[in-house]
Amino acid sequence: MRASDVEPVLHRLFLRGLEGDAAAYHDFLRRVASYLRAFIGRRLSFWTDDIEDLVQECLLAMHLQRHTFQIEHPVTSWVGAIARYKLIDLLRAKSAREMRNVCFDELEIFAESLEAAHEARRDVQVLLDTLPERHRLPIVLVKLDGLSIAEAARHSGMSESAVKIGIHRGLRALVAKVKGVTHEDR
Amino acid sequence: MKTDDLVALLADRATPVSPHATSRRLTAALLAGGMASLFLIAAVSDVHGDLLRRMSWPGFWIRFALVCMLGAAGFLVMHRLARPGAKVGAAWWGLVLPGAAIWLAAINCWMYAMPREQLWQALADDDWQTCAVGILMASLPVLAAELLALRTLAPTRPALSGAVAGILAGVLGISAHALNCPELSPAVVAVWDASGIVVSMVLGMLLGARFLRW
Repeated sequence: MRASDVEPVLHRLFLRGLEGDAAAYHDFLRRVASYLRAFIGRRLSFWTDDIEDLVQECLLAMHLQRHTFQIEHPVTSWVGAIARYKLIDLLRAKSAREMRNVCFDELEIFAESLEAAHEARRDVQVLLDTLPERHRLPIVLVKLDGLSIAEAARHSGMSESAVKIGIHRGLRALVAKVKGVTHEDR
Repeated sequence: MKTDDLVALLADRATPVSPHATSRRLTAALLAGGMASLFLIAAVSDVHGDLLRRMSWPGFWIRFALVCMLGAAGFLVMHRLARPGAKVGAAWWGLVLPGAAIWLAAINCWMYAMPREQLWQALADDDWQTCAVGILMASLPVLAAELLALRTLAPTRPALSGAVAGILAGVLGISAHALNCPELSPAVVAVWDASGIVVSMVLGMLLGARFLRW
């Protein structure tokens, strides 16, 4: 369901709930709970234990504060404001409590290994292709394919010093291009 | 408890809710607080008989209009701050403009209306305790009532909501105090009004940050 379709459905259910229709209210709370779980889950990915607690706290707050809802207003922004308030409250409490004793294991960095290097190389490939051939080929042969200078020279028909100069200048040009890309990103 | 169980539990308690709860609670608090401060003012001093005479002074009505605007805007802003997701929007101007006008009037009096020493003198010997303490005392019941009402609502910005409740309380405080205020010099009145509102606002902000969290 798209975000713009959510509002009319939730609004209708909530209004009936405010009039005392328990079944509609039940449906409303269950739907809101799953949206909250996704919203909070994305933002609390480090504290998975807290996600469900916060979902419940938000649901409870919405129940206790349901008289603050004005029927002509969108219920999604009401729910969103309560969820944000509770989330910020929790993060603030956490930062006060937990930042004082950050003591994660130094080996934690090795607990998981992702082979994301493949992804990154593809970008370099794009940049490499923009280099002139006399710079690009030595870099590909020596740095990526792992040949020695002599092998690369034989392979490409260039002199060994031309290969070395090509690598040197090519890498410098590449660094400049990488910097340019990241600056554009900002 | 599982979330599904909590949802079922809450749905069981789906008692009907009035859609006008916010307005009703804030208005009731304002009335109760306003009555309390009027009684307080009436109890500590007799209401001045020259109120009618002062009503012929144009400054009285300018002040009255500014105070009314500030009070109305304060109520509107507080009403919106008390409800999650409601935007205050243009209503802020209703607070900023009359507030700025009251302050400009006070600064204008301070700078030009009378020589500096004379104003200090006027502030000092006129029963300044009566004015400062009187305004503060008259605004406290309103502030307390508004904060209690806000506690039953859901302000997502507690300190800001407290500050606006403070402005509203200050406005009612100076209005209630005006019935009794023996001071006639507009310069002194303007200075007391402006500072009374700010003191009450800061007090509301501090209390709000502490007591309005939910």
